[in-house]
Amino acid sequence: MKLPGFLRRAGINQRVLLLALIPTLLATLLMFAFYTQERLIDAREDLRHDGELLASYLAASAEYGLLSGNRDALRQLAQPALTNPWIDRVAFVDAEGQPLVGEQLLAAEQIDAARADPRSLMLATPIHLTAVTVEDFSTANADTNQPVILGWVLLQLDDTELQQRERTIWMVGLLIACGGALIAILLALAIGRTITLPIRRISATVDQLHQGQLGARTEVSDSGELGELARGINNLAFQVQQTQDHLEAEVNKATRDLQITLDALEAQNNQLELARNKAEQANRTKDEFLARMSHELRTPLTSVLGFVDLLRKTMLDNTQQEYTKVIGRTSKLLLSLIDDLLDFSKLSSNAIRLEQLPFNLDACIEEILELHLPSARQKGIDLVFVPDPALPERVIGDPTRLSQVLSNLVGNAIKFTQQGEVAVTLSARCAQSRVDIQLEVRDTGIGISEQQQQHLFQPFSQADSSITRRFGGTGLGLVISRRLTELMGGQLRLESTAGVGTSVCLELSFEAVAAPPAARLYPQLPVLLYDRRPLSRRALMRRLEYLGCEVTLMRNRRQLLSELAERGDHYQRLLLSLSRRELKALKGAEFLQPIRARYPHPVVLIANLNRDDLAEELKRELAPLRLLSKPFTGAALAQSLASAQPITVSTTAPTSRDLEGITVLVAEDNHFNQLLISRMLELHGAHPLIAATGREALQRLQDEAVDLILMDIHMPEMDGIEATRAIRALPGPESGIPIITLTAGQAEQEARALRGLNIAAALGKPINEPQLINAINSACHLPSDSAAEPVLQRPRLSRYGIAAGELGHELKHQLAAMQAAYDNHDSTTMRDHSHQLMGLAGLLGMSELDAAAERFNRAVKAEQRQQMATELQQMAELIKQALAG
Amino acid sequence: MIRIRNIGRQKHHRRVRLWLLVATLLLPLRTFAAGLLIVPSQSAQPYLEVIDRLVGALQDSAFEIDIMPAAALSRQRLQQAQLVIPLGVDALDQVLSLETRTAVLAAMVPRESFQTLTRGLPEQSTAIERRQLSALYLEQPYWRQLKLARLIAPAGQHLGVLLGPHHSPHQARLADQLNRSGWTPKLYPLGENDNPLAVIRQLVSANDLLLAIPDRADFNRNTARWLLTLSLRERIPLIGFSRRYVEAGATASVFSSPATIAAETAAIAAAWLQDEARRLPPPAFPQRFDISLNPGIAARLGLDLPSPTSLEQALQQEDAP
Repeated sequence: MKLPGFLRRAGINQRVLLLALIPTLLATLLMFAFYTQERLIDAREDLRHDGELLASYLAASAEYGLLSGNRDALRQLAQPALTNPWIDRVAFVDAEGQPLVGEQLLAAEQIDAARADPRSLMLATPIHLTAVTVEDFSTANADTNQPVILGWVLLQLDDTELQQRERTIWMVGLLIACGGALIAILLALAIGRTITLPIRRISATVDQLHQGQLGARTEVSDSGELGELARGINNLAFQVQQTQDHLEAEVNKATRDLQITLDALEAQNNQLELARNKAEQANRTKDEFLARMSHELRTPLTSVLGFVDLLRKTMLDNTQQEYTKVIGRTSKLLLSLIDDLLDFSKLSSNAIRLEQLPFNLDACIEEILELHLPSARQKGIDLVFVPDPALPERVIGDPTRLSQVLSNLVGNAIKFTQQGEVAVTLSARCAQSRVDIQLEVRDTGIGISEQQQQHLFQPFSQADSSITRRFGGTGLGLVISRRLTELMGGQLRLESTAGVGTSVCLELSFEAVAAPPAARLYPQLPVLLYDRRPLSRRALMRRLEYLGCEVTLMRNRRQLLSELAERGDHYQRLLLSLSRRELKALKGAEFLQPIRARYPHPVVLIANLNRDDLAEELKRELAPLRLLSKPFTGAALAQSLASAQPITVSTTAPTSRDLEGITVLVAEDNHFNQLLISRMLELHGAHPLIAATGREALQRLQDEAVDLILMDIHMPEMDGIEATRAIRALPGPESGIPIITLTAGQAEQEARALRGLNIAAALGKPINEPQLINAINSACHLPSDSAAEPVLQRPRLSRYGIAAGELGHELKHQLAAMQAAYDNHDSTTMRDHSHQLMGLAGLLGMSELDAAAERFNRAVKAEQRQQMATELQQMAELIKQALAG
Repeated sequence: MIRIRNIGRQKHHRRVRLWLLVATLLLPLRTFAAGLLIVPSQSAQPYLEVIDRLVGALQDSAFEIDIMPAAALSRQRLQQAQLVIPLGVDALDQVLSLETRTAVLAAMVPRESFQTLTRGLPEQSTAIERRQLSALYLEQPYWRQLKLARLIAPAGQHLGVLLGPHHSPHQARLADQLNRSGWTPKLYPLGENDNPLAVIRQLVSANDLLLAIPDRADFNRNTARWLLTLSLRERIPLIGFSRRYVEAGATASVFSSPATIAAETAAIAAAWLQDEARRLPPPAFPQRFDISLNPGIAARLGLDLPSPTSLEQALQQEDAP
């Protein structure tokens, strides 16, 4: 059954109240109604009964008066009756209803109705004729004898008293009902309290339990169901409390166990931390070791290379020349091996940080190709670059690392190709501010089988162990290239077929530098191109289009001659790109003579010209002729189209006055180095200023107007890093002066220290003149006309007007000073001079001496006198050898 | 058939009552022989007393007496009896309606009623004539009442009689008897619309003695109170016709009691039995009577009444005018 809404919302107290009150009040009401009604009826009936009684007496008494028609007698009967206060009127009427005494209270026909109404206050009583039985034997008609009605007594009852009595009945009834209801309410409240009070106590206890007060118990004051409920709640609370206590104990135990475990873990962590620190320390030591080792390996190697170069320029017989070449080649190989190892090491320890510089990708690729031109020429293979005109002029990336990767790929391609060609094809796709490039290096070399390809990108693994024997190398080149590529966010893919060739595809994405399109050098210059080889033809076409030329392509000689005959005058330039075989077929000028006969303008001949005599011969026969030796650079092609003179490729950069008017502050502690760098600068027209320490450099800056600072890192008093930091902190415009640092070390910590000091360039020792000049040019935003040769070269003192004796004197001076300080236990002086010697040796590429000086320096710091003595001896030996050499 | 012989009166009463009940219940099973059949109209006390006494009176006779209520009477049963005695008007009516040839001696029937039932029926008239139908009337003859009146008021001259609306047919016979009794009779007929009190007042005021004669029961009862009241008030003696009248306030009454009725009926029945012709006497008023006096009233009236016995003897001596 569904309870009404108000009853669902009501509390127990209200419900109990309702439960007790509703039946009680209903019963009270019913009783009140019943008994009041009964009493009212009784009162009325009493009145009527009295009236009827009186009427019956009157009727009995009135028989004679009525029979005799004696109205006086009737009146006498009526008179005493009227003295009753509850009698209003009395009348005697005859059988026909005619009044004999009193008013006509009722008509005859109304009498029966008045008698039938039990509530009527008008009473009508018949007056009978009195019958007396006088027969001894009843006869048949005796039973049917009806009393004879003589007339009626009519009594009008006065209900004034009745009403008063009724009011009293009502009042008393109401009072009793209200009293009963009040008692019922009080009883209901009292009973309700006996139910709700224990429930409230239980509810309060449950609330307390809910709030976690598990010790709360409810009072058990009832022996009925509520008492059972209270006892049940108390039992439940007791059990919950027990369970809680048990759980708490368990948790405490678990917490203690956990704490023990945590302590153990913390101890383990501490041990691990210690182990990690040790490992990091070991790693740092390894880095330093590698740096030092590479340095120590590179220094003598560069020395060897330098001496090989010098040796070549002396008078040597053929055998000696051959040996010299072998020494040079193996030394370079060794140097590249060392560089590879160093790079691999850096990559392994994530020590390589990429630069984000704007650079010309085309130029960068061409520089790499140019670098490899000699070896390609030497092997007689074509090195072809197919550029993409869609490539923006400048992109942002790390040109050094890209060059390293590309150089490795091109070097490999040339290395493993005996004949044919190596083609570098660039495809660029620009999307908004980014450019995705695909650089494919395809060769016609020995190729790699699929099985060998699986091991290709594993460190120290080459396709075939025999390769190492045949071609040398560490097997790290591809691994380094791939890791560098991945570091630059690109990928490196290799496809190869053994015996057919290899294609390595480098995919990278750069941010393009927004710039107006570069002006074409030869807009709409009509050029006729003859080339029978598809790849070479494609490369040339691209390059010529890049320059703005209108190119007409001829695929065979007949077509060429026919075109020349018909429209020869139209073309301002004729480019003949000849293969080695075609070049051989030039004998007797059978090929060129008809061309010359039809085309009088300058002809550009592009061929693999190894023989100077052939070139001379061609020049002579086909003048005006411009020779472009393959492989060539874009710049060389552009130049060949413009220049009327034959192109000669120089291997050494001519000295120029390109630093004219530039004042360079040289902060270098070693006197000899000061002299060498000053001379280099003066050769290029710059004005050098000298400072022996960092502090002195700061001083000079305040007195002189300086365009650039060459800062040695290792200096007494205030080293280069500190001095640079001080300069950058200067208030005036001097703080923004470009600074190029010079360091003999390769330590990462130095690089880290310099990072953030806005260094224009960091150059290593020994000092390479072109590198230095280019760096100065770049830092001072001067045009640079030649690419620096990235070959480590020891500076030739004679070029700078410095006699070899001066170097010897200086070295001896430093050694003697160290020896004296050693004898005097003067650590400061020892450190100072060892430092100067390190700088001197580094600057001049005397790596063994440099390393020995550094070892001596460390020994001084560690106060290891034994080590100091050993190193002093070692240095004296090395200096002696150097001076003797 | 139950024969009742020589038992005491009280015992008789009880036995008769019991017998009547058993007879009623076993009626369909019984076969009745010829004899005397008593048929009461009802089982009221006076009837039972009459039957009781009748049976007592005839118990030594040759009658085989049987009793059967009027309501249970059948023609066959009636035919089986040789003499039937219906007691009361209803029993007579029932017996006559069955139209048998059995001799019928009606008792406890007023003369007026007997005549009314037999009037106009030739069979009954023939039966009366053949002395097969007769009656012993319930009421005493007027002359016997008039004689008693004279004995009570020897000096009285005017005698008043109140007549009911249904008494006029017998008014002549009454007047005749009154005239012959030596009284100066005054008859006061009371119409249905007459004020009885006024008539009675006149009756009382104009006579020396009042005579109440039997009429219809309602008339008797309605007038009795005022006759008694006013006669007493006026000190006029009132002669009634029943024991109850005397008890109600009349001075004296001559009447038939159950004992006299039973005795006289038994005598007639016995005579009929002994009559070889089996003839009954003609219908007649009773020979026997009872007298009842109210000494208190008589004292209030200042009358010196003779004893009932002397009155009875005087009446018997002076019987039959």
